Amino acid sequence: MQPIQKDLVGIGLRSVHYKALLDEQPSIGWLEVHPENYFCGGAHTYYLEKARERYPLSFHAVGLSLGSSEQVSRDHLQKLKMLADRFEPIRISDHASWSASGNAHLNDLLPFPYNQESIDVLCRNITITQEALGHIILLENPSTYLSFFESTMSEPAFLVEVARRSGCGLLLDVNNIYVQAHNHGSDAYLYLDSIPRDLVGEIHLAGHIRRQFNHGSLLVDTHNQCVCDEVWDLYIAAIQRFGAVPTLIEWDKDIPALCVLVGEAEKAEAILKQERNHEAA
Amino acid sequence: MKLHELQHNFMNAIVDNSPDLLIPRIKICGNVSPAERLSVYRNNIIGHLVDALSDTFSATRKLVGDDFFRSMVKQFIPGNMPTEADINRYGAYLPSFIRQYAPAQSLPYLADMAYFEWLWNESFLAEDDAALAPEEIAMLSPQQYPSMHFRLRTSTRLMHAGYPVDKLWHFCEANGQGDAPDINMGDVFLLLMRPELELITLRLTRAEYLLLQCLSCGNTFEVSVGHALQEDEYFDIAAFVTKHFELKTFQAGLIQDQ
Repeated sequence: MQPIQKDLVGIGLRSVHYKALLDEQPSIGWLEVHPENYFCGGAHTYYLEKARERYPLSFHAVGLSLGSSEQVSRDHLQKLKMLADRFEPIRISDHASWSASGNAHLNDLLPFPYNQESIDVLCRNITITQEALGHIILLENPSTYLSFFESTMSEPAFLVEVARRSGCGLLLDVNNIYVQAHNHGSDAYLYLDSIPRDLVGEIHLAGHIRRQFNHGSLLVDTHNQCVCDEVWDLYIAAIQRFGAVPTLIEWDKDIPALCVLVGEAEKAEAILKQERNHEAA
Repeated sequence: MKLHELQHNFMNAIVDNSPDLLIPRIKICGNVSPAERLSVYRNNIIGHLVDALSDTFSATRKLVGDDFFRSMVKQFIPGNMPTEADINRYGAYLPSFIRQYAPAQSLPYLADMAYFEWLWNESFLAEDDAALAPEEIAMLSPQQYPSMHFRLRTSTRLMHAGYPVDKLWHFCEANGQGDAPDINMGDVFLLLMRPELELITLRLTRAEYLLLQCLSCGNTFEVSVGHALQEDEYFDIAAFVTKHFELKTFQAGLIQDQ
């Protein structure tokens, strides 16, 4: 029996799965990696070469720090460009966030105010990146745990403005939209409706946890769980709005057996298939 | 507040745990306070860095236990934040921090252990390169050897340690199974290298170590051998050459002194 071709659903490739992936060769459409993990030689790059022989790759960067008031690091861009030239990813993305300030690089995706100054900074850094790579990038909506008095617009309005001005696309993380709605008291379905159909180039799905405080809770985007039912419901709404968009299952911590990720990918594939059947009818 | 100043204050809030300038800029929303919201970032960032150091310095961690290690690196982190996005390369200064860290003074081998693990990490992540091919060697006449520069592979690291950190590392990796190494056995000279995918460690004699050290500094073969012979007048040059050609210690592309 021929396996079902899940060309639209991918999984994040992590080092604990290198051998299982090459042995089992599951029927998934593509693999996504953090390119920063491959700015080196040795085993990581060897296994990426092997994986690339079987699957298309996408690059999901975490280190460009596009929202920093300082310019994108030329050194980082050069390494990314060299890797992209070598592995020819089908898509390159990073986040609407910042990590670097001064000489320090905080290894997290940090929030900034949604206002005109941030739009200018982000557009400048995206333009530098796209010119250096010769490649349009996708910008991912973040999970955030706080917002600033300096914000003058909603997150979706901000992202749409950045995409329109810089020419980048959007990577819509549906789990992040759900997390934002809880953490900031917004409406996840209205968020989806605020994003124009033509801007979305990829969707991410992941798990989160709830962290309890004295008088309330925050959802934290931990990528260490299965996708929850509420996020699957939001994903169905997203697919109905944006069509059959390439979708990725992310899992970065407490990583389970490869078959668990493939199982999540199959759930996404079933939803996409339903939408394609609906479109065909 | 302008973005640059906001990001500067955010950095201080995380690194120095001094959030006073940032907290007033955080919107009050729902029942979770601005300070609690900010704590998610601080916990995430410090937690990720502790995890990264725990992975890179796993034998060092096993030697002192999780609680001691976490407490130690939490004091190391604020003055040594990462300077690049690649977290795999974080921790270069931890060995020298350990050397000065008062609570670790009763474990004099701990800094050497950490330095060994750092060299291991550097070797593992080194750029790929090609080994000196037999054809290149065959083209050399014995008369050419003295003036040649044999470059070491990019993954090669040399270490002179006061303790048998290689044995100690294997002992930790085996979670304490087997005989504990005698830490007072004296100095060891080590070569760490990744000829292909797997990393190897090798004990060297002092003369062999000096020779490789000299070559790595760009000296000719003749000058480097001179240092080895000064250390050991019976040093077997032919055996050294054969051994390191077979180990693929040398990089492709010979350079002859002009």
